[in-house]
Amino acid sequence: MTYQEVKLPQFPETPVFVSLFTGVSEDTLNTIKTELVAANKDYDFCFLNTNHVISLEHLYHSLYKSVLNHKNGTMRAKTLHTEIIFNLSPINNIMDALRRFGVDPECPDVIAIKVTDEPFEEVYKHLRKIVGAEAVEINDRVLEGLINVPKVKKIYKLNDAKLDEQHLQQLLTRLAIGACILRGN
Amino acid sequence: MTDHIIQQVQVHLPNIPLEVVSQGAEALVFQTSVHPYYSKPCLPHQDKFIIKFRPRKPYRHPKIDAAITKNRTIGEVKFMAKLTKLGIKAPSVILADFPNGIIWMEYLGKKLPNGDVSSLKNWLWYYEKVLADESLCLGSEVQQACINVGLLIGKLHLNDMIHGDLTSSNILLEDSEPVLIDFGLSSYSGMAEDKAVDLYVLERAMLSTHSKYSDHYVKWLLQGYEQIHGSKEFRSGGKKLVETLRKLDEVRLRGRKRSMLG
Repeated sequence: MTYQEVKLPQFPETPVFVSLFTGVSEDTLNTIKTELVAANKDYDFCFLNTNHVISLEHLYHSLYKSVLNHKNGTMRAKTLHTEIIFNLSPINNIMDALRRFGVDPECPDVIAIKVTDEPFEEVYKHLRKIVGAEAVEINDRVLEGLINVPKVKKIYKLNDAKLDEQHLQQLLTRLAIGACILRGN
Repeated sequence: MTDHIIQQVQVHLPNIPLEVVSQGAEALVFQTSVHPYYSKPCLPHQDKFIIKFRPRKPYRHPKIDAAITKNRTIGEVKFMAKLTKLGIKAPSVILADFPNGIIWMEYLGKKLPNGDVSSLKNWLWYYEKVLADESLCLGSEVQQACINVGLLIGKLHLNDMIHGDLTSSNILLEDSEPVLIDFGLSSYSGMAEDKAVDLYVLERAMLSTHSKYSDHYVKWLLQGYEQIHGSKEFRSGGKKLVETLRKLDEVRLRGRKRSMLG
């Protein structure tokens, strides 16, 4: 399995497709970015750079929040895919969230997410064509190696927090989720 | 009464099994085995979670009720997030739904040999009633636990945070490491008065739930409280300690309320 099917216990009818690609070329990333801005239907995915995605728990919190907001009709962003990016951010500004968490030509590692009813195998085939690479397994250990800790600390304002280096990923996850929950309040 | 509230919360949490743990005037606390979005969270207990729910109050105006519920839920989550950031042991937040007054948090505490949750109250009662041996009740294990609780409360106060409802059941022991819970009445204050009242509330709670040995327990709690004020981590801790203890003597004479009116 190279992609993940996420089922939230509260929303079993809304499965989410999650996959990770590493070493994507800068040209491809630039194309993806242009096509996303042009709202090309073929590129209707949520693309994230891996610099600030601390762990699966962090990512899934955003998925849950976004699907919930989608169901309740309380989304702040225009689409569910943008909402996922926005809900990762501790700052109440969608443009800012897109800039920080969205696809970044300087970061060759990309997480692609899609909320859809289409069969996931088809989705993956299509995605492989766009990205031009094979997906790799996504888990906490892989993500830990891809995060940029100083940048994460800066975004989530954790420079004054007491962090135990041994459980860094765990602590950062807890603190980042806390910051996302409290965004704007 | 409770059934009605459970129905209310089930609307917001479909497919989630709920088991009532405790009920207060303001909120209901549930335990569940399902994590809302991830089956392997970075937490010590991966199959138990706590949900705190503030139900609607029918006697309040709906608009005011919604605002109060939302603000109190936000306040509590903020307090808990700040504690995590400061490294003070408290449950961390998993998820919050402010308008509906729902907070998901980490499960903490162990089971005691007699099946009760390891709150300080149950733990001390276990020593007092089940083991019922004075040398154990006043032994070094209990002493160390009380000192650790004192250290924890001291740390909280040194960060100008007030728990507001310190009782022995609002302190959990996770392998003799104390953890604070229930921040429904918490506030921020640097005043010695508020800290002294916080300590006084704990002192009274200890006196009423553990009357037999409460003077020993309180002595050890204050010993830990004094110890942390002397640590190098906090500047001018000594001065703050003197002020708080002086106020505590005052509060002991007059009670929790500042004025005798009303």
